[in-house]
Amino acid sequence: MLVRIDVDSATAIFAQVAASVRADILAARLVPGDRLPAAREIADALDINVHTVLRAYQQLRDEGLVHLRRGRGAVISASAGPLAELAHDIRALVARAAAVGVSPAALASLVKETTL
Amino acid sequence: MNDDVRRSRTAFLWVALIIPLAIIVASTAVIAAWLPELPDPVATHWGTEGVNGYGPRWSYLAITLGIGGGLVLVMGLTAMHAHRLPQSSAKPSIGAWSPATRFIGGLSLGLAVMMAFVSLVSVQLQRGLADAADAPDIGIWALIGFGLLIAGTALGWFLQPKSPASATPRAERAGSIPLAATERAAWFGTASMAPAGVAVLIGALVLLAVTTVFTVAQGDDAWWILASVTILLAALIAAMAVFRVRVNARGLRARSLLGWPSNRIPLDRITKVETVQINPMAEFGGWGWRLGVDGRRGIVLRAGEALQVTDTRGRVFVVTIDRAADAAAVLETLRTHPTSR
Repeated sequence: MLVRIDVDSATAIFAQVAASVRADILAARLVPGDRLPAAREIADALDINVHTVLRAYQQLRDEGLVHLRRGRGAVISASAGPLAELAHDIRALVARAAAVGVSPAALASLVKETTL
Repeated sequence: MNDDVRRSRTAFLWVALIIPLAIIVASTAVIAAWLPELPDPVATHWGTEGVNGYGPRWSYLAITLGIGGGLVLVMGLTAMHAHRLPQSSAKPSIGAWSPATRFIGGLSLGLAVMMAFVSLVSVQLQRGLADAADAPDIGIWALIGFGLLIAGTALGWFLQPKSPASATPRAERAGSIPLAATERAAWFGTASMAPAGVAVLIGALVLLAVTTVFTVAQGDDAWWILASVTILLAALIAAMAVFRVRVNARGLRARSLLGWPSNRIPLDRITKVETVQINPMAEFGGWGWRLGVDGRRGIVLRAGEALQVTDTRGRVFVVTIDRAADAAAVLETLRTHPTSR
């Protein structure tokens, strides 16, 4: 699993850690049942605060992508599986939005506000 | 599998399994036929002062068939299937044969000959005795048995054809990932033992444990040596089963779940990062924390893809992990982009 952060970025570090995990799920490098490294392991490897990593894990849990269990750490949940199937569609949508001049941020807001 | 490998494999099947098992079974049958003529209990162990260990009449059947047959089966089947143990990443198995396998084939024959010989002599010397304590010393026969072990191993070696050169794919240089100067990256992976490897190790452990119990039951003074070896082996298996692998700005680290053994190679000491295909039996003579026949060292837990790192002293370290190419790309990127540290 690859975690990458940019301390100079405007995006919060916890959000970058969460995005790294999401990217690996999207690429099917992480599949349901896979265990994520311990939060202090990631914190130590990247010289960041362990609470930052825990916050990222909590966000992923709120999104239903991981289970957090005491003693077992963070495990990719079953509901994260179908995410990889969307990878192609997401790419296509972002590419189309960019082609017509809609920024990823605006697109994300539009996705969030879309109700079916 | 090419013709050379098939020929080696057939020879191995005969030398390491069929002939040794036939020897074991035949000698067990002879011992069974002699059983009524034996004293009860029989002498099973000799010290400097003569007989000092006894067991029930059937002891020699158990020793010959259980320990002798068990050893032959474990060694033969392990070596035979070693090169195609499953690897978790779905890559084709490596159809190779190696001098290590050939040697194990010879050793299997040697062990069977020695076990059968020593058991037969021990039983033969006690036929017709009323009391096993009168059994003559077997020191000289045990020595001959040891000679037979060496002779049998040598014979088994030469009965098999020269091992075909393994067609191991060449090492591949690492790729890279896009990484900005202000970015930090860390890659995490796990190296775990193939299920078949775990089964083999547990099997060996059980065999050793049974032998230990047998020794303790016999009241042998040296039982604690075997017991210590059993405990040590159990601890080693536990320590070698799973390793956490980490790549970050500090370099490469591979550490057992138990915390030991742990290997670190600092980033500035790494001179080359590659991915390779590993054949544990042929290149490292087995699984675990290994020293290879070619001087490489590292963590070899299954066949297939592995990360291979060379340091400034020219030492080569390997670790068998899934997605080794990903790990190699991250490590290579960190190594060649000093600004990202």
